Amino acid sequence: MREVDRTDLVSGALIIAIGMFFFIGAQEYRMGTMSRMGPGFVPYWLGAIAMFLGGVIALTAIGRPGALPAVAFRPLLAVTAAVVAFALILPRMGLVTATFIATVVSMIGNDEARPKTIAITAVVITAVCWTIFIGLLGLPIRTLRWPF
Amino acid sequence: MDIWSNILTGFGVALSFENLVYCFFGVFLGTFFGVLPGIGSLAAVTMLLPITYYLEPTTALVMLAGVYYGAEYGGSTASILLNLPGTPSNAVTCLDGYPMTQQGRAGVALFSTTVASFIGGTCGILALYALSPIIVQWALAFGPAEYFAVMIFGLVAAATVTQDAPAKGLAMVVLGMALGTVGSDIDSGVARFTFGYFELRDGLSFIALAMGLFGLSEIILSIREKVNAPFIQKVTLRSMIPSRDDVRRSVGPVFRGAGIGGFFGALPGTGPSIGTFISYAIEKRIARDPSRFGKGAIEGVTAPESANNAAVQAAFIPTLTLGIPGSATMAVMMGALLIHGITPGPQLMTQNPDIFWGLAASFWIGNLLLIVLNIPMIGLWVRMLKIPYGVLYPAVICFICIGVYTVRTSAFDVFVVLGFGLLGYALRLMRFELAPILIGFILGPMVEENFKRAMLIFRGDFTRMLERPISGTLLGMTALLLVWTVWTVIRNRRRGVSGGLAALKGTGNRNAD
Repeated sequence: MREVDRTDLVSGALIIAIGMFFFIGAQEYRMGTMSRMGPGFVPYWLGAIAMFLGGVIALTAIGRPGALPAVAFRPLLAVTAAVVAFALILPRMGLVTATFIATVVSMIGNDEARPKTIAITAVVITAVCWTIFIGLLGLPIRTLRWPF
Repeated sequence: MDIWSNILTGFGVALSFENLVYCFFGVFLGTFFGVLPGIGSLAAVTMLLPITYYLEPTTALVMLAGVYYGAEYGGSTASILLNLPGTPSNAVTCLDGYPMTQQGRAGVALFSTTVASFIGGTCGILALYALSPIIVQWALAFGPAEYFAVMIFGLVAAATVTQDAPAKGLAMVVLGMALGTVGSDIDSGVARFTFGYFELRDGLSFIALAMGLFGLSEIILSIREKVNAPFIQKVTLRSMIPSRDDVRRSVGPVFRGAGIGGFFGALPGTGPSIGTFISYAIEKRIARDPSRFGKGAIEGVTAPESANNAAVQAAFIPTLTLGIPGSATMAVMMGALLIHGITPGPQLMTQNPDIFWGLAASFWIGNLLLIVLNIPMIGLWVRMLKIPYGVLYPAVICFICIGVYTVRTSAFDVFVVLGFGLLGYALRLMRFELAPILIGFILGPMVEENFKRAMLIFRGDFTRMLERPISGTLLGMTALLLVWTVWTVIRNRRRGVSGGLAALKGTGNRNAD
C-alpha cells in the first residue's frame, strides 16, 4: 500500500462533507437563472467548489506519510462543559454564579491545577468580571438570581 | 491644498478629549492583550468590540484601531523575551529577538522594536494619507462587476499567497463564504440554512464566529502547553539604550521594512505576516554577513517589526477606501463599522470625512502614545508575562462568553461560539489556517450581492465582466495567481521540499492575524 497523510485525508473528507451539506441544502431554495439568481444559486456553487477542493486535498494526501493528530480530550471537554454551563446558568442564575462555575469547570481541564488555586482564581475572575461588565460598563445583566 | 485641511480636521477630531482618552485605552488594552501569549490582535479586538457598542462610531473605531496596533506592538515583547510570538506577525521577531535576550540584550531589542514600530507605523500612515484619496477617486467609478472582481482577487490572494497548502486555504475561504450565506437572502428574503432557528435569521453572529475560531479553539489547544509561569529576564531602563552600532545597522532595514510592509499591507487579502517574513528574508539576503541572522542580529528585529506596523496601518487603506479587509483582523474592524451603521467604501471618505480623517490622525497619536507608554512601562509588561496561562485562560473564556452574550442578550450565541470553537479546534488539528474563514465570511455576502447585480446588468453574460478593463484585469490577475499557485505546488512536490516561506513560518505559531 502507498503512504497516505491521514490528517489531510480526513481534512479532505471533512471539506467534502461540509461542501455536500451546502450543495444539497441549497437545492431546497430556488436556483433562478444567470441573470436573475435565486437564493439557492450561490450556496449551491460554493458547496460544489468546496467538494472539489476537498477532493484535491484528499488526493494530494496520497503519496506522503502523516499520522492523525492527537486530540487533547481533557481540555476539550472542560472548555466545552464550561461554555455550556455558562450559557445555561447566566440567564437563570445571574453573572456571578455563571462566571464562578464556568471558571471552576474550565480549570478542571488543566491537570496541574490544585483545588486551592482553582477556588482563588474563580473568586478573583468573578470579581473582575462583575467589576468590568456590571460595575463599570453597566451592562444589563443580572448579578445574582435565584430561580427557585 | 485640500488634503492639508482634511488632515487638520482629522487631528481636530482625534484630539478631542473623548477620542484621546479612548485612544489611550485602546492602545493600553491592546498592548496588554498583545503581551499575553496566546491572545493575538484578532482575539483582542473581538473581545473588546462589545465594549464599544455604547460609544460614538468614531470613538469606537479609534479605540479598536488602538487595540489592533497596540496588540501587534505588544506581541513583540513576548517574542523577544520568551520566544513566544504574541501575534503571528511577530513570529519572525523571535528569530533574532530571543537570541538577543539570551545575550542579555533584551532591553536593546525592546527599545529598538518600539522605535522601529513607530517609524514603520508612521510610514504606513503617510501611505494611507497619500493613497486613499487616489483609490477613492477610482473606486467611486466602480460598479458591481469591479467590486466583485476586487473581492475575488482579495479572497484568492488571502487563501493562497501566505499558505503552505493553497487548496486548504481556498477551502477555508469557501467555507467562510458558505457560512456567510446563513440567514435571510437579501433579494428574496428567503431564510437559508436557519433550520427554524429565529436567532439565525440575521445570519451567524460574526463576533461569535471570530471568538470561537480564534479564542476558544486556541485555548483548547494551549492548555496543555503553557500552564507554567515562565522565567523572565529583568529589563531596566538603562539596559534599553542601543549602542551607536545598533542604530547605524538599523536605519536602512527599518525604512526598507516599512516600504515592504506598507506594500503588502495595502494589498487586499495579504495581512501583515507576509510583509514581516519577506522583509526579514530580504535583510538576510542583502546583509554583508548573513550568518549573523538567527544569532541576535538587530536588523532581524527592527526590519520585520517596522514592516509589521507599516502593514497594520496600510491595511486600513483597502478596508476604508474599498470596503475590502486586508486581513482577518481588518475583517473584524469592518464588522465593527457595519455594526455602527457605517458602510466602509469610497463613500466613507466623502460622506463621513470626519470619521476617515479623524481615524487616520488617531493612528499617529496612538503610535506616539505607544512609545510614551511602552518605554517607561516596560517593567509592567514584563511582569505581566509572568501571569501563568493556567489562570489566564479561564478569565478569557468568561470574557468571551460575557462579550458574546451581551451583543444580542442571547444565550444562543454562546452556543454558536462553542460550535465554532470546536470546529476551529478540529480545523487547527488538521493544519488549516483559520484567518481566511473570517475574511470569506465578511466578504461572502458582498461578493454574492455584487455578483448578482453584475449578472443582472449583463443579462447573465459572464464574458461581459471580462471585457470591462478593471474587472477583466483583476479577474485575469486572479486566474494568474491560481495558475502560479498550482505550478509552485507541483514544483515543490517534485522537489520534495516546501517553499522558503513555509520554512520561515515554521517558527512555532498557530495563530491567525
